[in-house]
Amino acid sequence: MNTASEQSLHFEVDTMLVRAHAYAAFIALLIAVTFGIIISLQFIYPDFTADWLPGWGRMRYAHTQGIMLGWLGNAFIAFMYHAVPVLSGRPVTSRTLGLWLFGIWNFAVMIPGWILVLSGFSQPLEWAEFPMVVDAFVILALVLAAFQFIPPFIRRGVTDLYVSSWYLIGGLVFTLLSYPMGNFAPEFVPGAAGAAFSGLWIHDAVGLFVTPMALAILYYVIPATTGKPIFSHFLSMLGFWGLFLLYPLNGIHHYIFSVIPMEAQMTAILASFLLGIVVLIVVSNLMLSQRGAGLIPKDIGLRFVSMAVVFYLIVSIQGSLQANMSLNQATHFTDWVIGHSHLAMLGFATFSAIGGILHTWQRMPQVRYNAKAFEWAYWLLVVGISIMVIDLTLAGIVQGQLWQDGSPWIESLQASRPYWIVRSVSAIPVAAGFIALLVGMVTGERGADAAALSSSSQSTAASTALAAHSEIHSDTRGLTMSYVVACAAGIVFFVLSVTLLGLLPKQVLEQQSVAMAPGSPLPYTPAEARGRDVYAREGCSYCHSQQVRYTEADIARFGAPTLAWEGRLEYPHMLGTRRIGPDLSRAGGTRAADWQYAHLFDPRAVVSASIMPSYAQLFSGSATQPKRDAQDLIAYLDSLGRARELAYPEGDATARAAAPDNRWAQMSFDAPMLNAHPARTRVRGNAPALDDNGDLALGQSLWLENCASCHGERAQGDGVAAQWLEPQPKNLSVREYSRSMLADVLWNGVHGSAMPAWRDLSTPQRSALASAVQNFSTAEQETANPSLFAAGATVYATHCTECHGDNGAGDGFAAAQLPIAPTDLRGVRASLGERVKVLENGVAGTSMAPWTDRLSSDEINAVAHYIGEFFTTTSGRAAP
Amino acid sequence: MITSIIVWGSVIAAIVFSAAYFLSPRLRSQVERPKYQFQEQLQNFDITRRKRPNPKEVSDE
Repeated sequence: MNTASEQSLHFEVDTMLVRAHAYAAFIALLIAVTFGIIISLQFIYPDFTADWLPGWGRMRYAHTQGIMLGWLGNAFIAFMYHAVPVLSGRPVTSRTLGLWLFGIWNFAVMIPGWILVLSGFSQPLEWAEFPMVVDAFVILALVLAAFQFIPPFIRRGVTDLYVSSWYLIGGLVFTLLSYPMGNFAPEFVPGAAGAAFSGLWIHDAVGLFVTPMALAILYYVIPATTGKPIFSHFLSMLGFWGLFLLYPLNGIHHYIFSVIPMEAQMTAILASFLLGIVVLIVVSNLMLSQRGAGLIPKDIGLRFVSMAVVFYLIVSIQGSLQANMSLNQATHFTDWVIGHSHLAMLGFATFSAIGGILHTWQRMPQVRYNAKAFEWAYWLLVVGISIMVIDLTLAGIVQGQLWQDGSPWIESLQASRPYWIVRSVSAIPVAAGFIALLVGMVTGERGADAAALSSSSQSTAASTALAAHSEIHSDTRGLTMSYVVACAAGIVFFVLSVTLLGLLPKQVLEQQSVAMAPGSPLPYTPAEARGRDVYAREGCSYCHSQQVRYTEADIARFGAPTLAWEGRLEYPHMLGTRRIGPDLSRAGGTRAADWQYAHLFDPRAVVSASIMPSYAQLFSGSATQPKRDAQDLIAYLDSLGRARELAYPEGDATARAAAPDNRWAQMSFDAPMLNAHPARTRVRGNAPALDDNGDLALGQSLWLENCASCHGERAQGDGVAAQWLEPQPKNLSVREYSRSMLADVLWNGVHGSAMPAWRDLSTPQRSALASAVQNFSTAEQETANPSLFAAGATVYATHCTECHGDNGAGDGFAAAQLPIAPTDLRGVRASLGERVKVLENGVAGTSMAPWTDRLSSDEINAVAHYIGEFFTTTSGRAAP
Repeated sequence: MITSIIVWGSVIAAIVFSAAYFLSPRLRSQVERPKYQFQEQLQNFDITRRKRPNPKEVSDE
């Protein structure tokens, strides 16, 4: 650089805007982390905030948007106010523009965004949760940011841009392109095709916004602190172009094994692998650039940045590996992914941002600077984030293993609990670290920059080297042209990713939908559509996916993989990227409505180990009094999977014929069951036989875990949830059951009632449970009374056979028309008193009516005696 | 097909870029120059601030 150009440089840093954005960043960080801590605690104490805070899903929305836009967005802008004048030698465009940018970013995006999502106005899209009205202001702010920070580089002349400048410009431009695509496209493109665009944005948010800004900081702070140029500008540019080509092509790796065309999935998997190689180049260059700084650099800004490099290496290798199909099969939807995203956002990006801000802080004479607080912050954050990520990764492995081997879903929750406790505990040092950082920025002496000055001017070697390199004068015109070509290449990269991973999959999926959809699939009713909005606003899709993947484990647990046309009404899609609860794409008809209401009102009253938050606010004080939102939500849940179920099996046969060469679709048609949900009730029969002697202790334990919530601890039909169910859970203590009857009920449930099937329990477990049920019985057999037998038989033949059948098997000619099948009296015998009670009062919620208006007490007594004779301990319909 | 294009395209581009870098001293110098320029700008930035104990940075104070 010649003397004239040196003199023309203006390193005017707008410190007021640096400080404003830095303070806003840390305030947003503390708010977002508070949301994160609350929702993590709800994994352990699901109801502890139910009465006084918004629901779990809403706070989850606020947490992720707060971290990405509130914390990182403000932090990156703060850093740019310092870095752009130094990188370009020109001041940023204007302070007025900066004030507008600050105002919009914080007062038109963050605060309204938080208020809206907490109030229930949101988008159920990962990293795009703020509603579209807020998105419009984000885009406006990004435009202002581009006008604020890019012109200084243009005014300087675009030749010889340093790598940080490339990343800053690239990040601003490509975020501006990808943000609207990711936030708006899924609102207009349904189902899996919309998910393809979401996948693009999920990765672009990291790859085109967070990573470029973070790498700009790393490439800036390392040489600025060590006083030595980076190891290789060539490698840095190789990395820059590699990242900008490959990051956007990763998007669909969030939906591996989905219905999105396999070609697009393979492209994303390959791009993920190549990206890992590029990151190795980037990280090697960054590490070599720190030569001599030591493993734990003395300068606190460099120390954070150095740790960010390590986190970047780990998270990138992890990302490449988890796109591998084998690993993905076992880890996708688990906490492994949550650990990965925390490592990316709280590890790599946050450490970069903190490093950048502290570097800036050291160079502002008027700010306070407390070195001791920053030291504490560093170690607290390293320890906290490391524990959190390791813990979540282990939790993910455990969850994935349990899901793969077909264990009952609830076991994965129980096994995860220790990990979730550790995760919440790890939040203590993390939160303390962030508080320490803020303390460090508002306490201590002013004028820390004196120290920074002495450390950053160690060497004059750079001048000498520059002089040597300046001897070869560049062809400015040629270079300018190369930058134009480079900019065009960048746009082409982005367009390439949108075309390959967005538009082409959309076209293929639309063709599949047209070819495979049944003639007139039912649309949502108004109530179901409203219910979908409730589902979306409460963030249900963060815990329940709506896609059965094309994997053996999913097919065994949930049924046939989801076809493209099944998402034709999903604007936006809610495929989901995490499963805390089971997949719900085939929830329709799986559970009775009274069970659903009870579960929504008080989840643990129905499923003792559930961690689902209570949605009691959707009820008027009782599960039997749902408000319209609850009714709509249940209507929506009951519609999930309905269209394919109604079309089945003729619809699948037609679709199969329409796609003979589609191997993946054929996999869906070949699934043994359309809906394999283990709790789904089915008509009686075909139940595997139980062992004659089940393990009683195991059975009692299983009873307490799975049955006591409805039937009560002593099986008297008085569990907590019993009050909300109709028909009420049976009082098993006054009934005798044959083993084959129990085998049938445990295998098939009682269709039409809240009694689910328990197919995810093994045969020994169901045998043990059956033994526990039989052990509860205190029903004494009455003395036979032959004088009543004939009278009872007459009454039975006159009034009961049409439902219960001639021999009490529950197979009368009217039985098939009843919503709940009549009791098979051969397999169960109530005590005489209970039989009389049922005959006198009927059974609410079933077709069994009271008979007191048609039968005399003598007749009731007679028939009560008579029906007891049907019972045999070996009867029932279980398969041998 | 598409994946092959991406693999080979990116590998070939990287090889061409690398070969040009190693074979052409002129290109090598041009590619590496920004890091030295940046280093000098950092020094100039510090010098500017040294000269001005209360720098005339645009500030609210």
